[in-house]
Amino acid sequence: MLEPRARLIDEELAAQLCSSIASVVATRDASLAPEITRAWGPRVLADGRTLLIAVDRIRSAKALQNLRENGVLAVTFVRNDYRAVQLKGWCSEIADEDAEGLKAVEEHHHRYAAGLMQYGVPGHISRNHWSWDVVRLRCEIDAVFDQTPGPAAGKPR
Amino acid sequence: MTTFSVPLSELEECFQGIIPSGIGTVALDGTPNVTSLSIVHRVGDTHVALSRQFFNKTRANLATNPRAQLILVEPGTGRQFKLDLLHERTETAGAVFEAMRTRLDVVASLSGMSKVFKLAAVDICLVLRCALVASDWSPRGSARTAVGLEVLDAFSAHVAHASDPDNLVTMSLRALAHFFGYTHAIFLLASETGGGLYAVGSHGYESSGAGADVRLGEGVIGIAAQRLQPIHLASVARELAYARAVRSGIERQGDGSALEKEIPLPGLEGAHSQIAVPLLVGAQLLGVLFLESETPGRFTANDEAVLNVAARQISLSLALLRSRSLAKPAITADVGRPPASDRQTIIKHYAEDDSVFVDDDYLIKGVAGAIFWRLLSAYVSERRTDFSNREIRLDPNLDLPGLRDNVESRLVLLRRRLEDRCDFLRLHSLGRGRFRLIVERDIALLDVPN
Repeated sequence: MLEPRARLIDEELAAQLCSSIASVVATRDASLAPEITRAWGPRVLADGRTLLIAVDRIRSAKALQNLRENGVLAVTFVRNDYRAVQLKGWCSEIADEDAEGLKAVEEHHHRYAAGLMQYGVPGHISRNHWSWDVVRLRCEIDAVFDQTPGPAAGKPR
Repeated sequence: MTTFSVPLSELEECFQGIIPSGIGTVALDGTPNVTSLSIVHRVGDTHVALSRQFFNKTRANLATNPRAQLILVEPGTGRQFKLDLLHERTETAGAVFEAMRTRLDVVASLSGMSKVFKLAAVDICLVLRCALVASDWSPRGSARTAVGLEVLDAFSAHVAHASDPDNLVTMSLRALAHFFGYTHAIFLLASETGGGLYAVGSHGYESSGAGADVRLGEGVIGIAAQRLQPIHLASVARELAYARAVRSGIERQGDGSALEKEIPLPGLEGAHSQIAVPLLVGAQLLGVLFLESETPGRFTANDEAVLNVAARQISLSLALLRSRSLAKPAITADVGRPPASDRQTIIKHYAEDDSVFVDDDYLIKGVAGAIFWRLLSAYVSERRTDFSNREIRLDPNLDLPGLRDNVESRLVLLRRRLEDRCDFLRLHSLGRGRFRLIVERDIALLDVPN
């Protein structure tokens, strides 16, 4: 019988992910060209290793193609105070988003708009970044890195 | 082969750093990496420069696989642009490096990290492709109208009518607001000793701030003065938040000994945009014009160009008015009338630092304090009210070696401080290098020696 995988995303980190403002996911193709796209509505499953995020179906077409071909990804979450983490792993499933996921996406949209407003940017311009026609990525996380700018940036968390 | 569906020159706002950019790279083993970038700088029509401070993995990836992808956001509209990049070289000197370093140094200075928060290098990347990210929402943002030559001409004509340095300060500040809409501005003059600047006037604030000091090399104003170049922060709050995150990291590592105190921002609470433009004649620093706004990205490339021209006009006028004043002959003194009020006010002078207090309220110190005491002493002993700049400049008792060309600046400061702090003492310009001390209350002087 296989040992259960150790948790990588504890409650504190999960809370940090779910209070983040900006989130971007990176993929790559066979030639090692990167392709990035915005991610929305993060949810952490109970095993502490699985992350669900949503990406725009149309704008993320190239990233989705990459994920279908090789699955590897990295996703970063940045709060408005610049505390940030990066999670690396692979995508085990691409599926239509469910109602709970869409609710998380909507909450993230509003959090994102509020975050921009905190720095004087009109919140309405964030609608240019919102996504409703989304697909859900099921991400199996292998590593977590501190991404907060400073001397510890890039170090394993 | 490069593909630009949108030319980089149209993305000027995106490079102000108001909304952070995301950058993706890939390691040779195929592992992608993504992080946010504080500064992306446009280098001509085909390249961008990325600031390199801490993002270690991005640096390592670019060294082995030069491809990167960047998302830029236009803050006025929210439009997003995706740029495919090819890393070409890393620079640690040169014009691009210096431009980005200066911006970072200002933030480091403001956040008390001038010794530890430094630009390590800039990565120059060829832009292979620049494309608008599709959106089903039409932005409502609109570009601000650029200032035209006619308006600049009107500003120049207005400022050229200033009759003396004091009048120039007032007219410049009003004209900056009237012609260009720069509603919050501070006019600072360089200290004669080269150690810093002091405010002589402002527009758009509750108090004029006259007399406020700024040290050379500190903050937006101090660095603009030290490096003799304009300094622009398009999103002050965000840049400070970024710097504070770095500061917290340093403190967590127990390496806080190299940190200094944060420098309080001058002027407007909640300012998002700040720009400081040096007032120069040749390489000589006369002062700094400082402007700010509650709107992020308020000062565009057009505004920077306009302010550079405006600053040159003001600098030349200031130099001219000072030299005119130098050439005037001494004017005989007039004798003043007794004051209208019968209430007596005690004015104290402390010789230690030439500070002057009116009824125990601090008014002014230093050179301006010494000049004021000289005027008050002449008024009390001789009932003199009219003076000339020249006699002040040449007064051996004032001990102004090296400062003589700048007496007008100190008189401007003194005049502003009196306007702010005292309702019965005024300096009134009579033109042609002369001025009148107006005293509307009986005064008694108390000199406190060293």
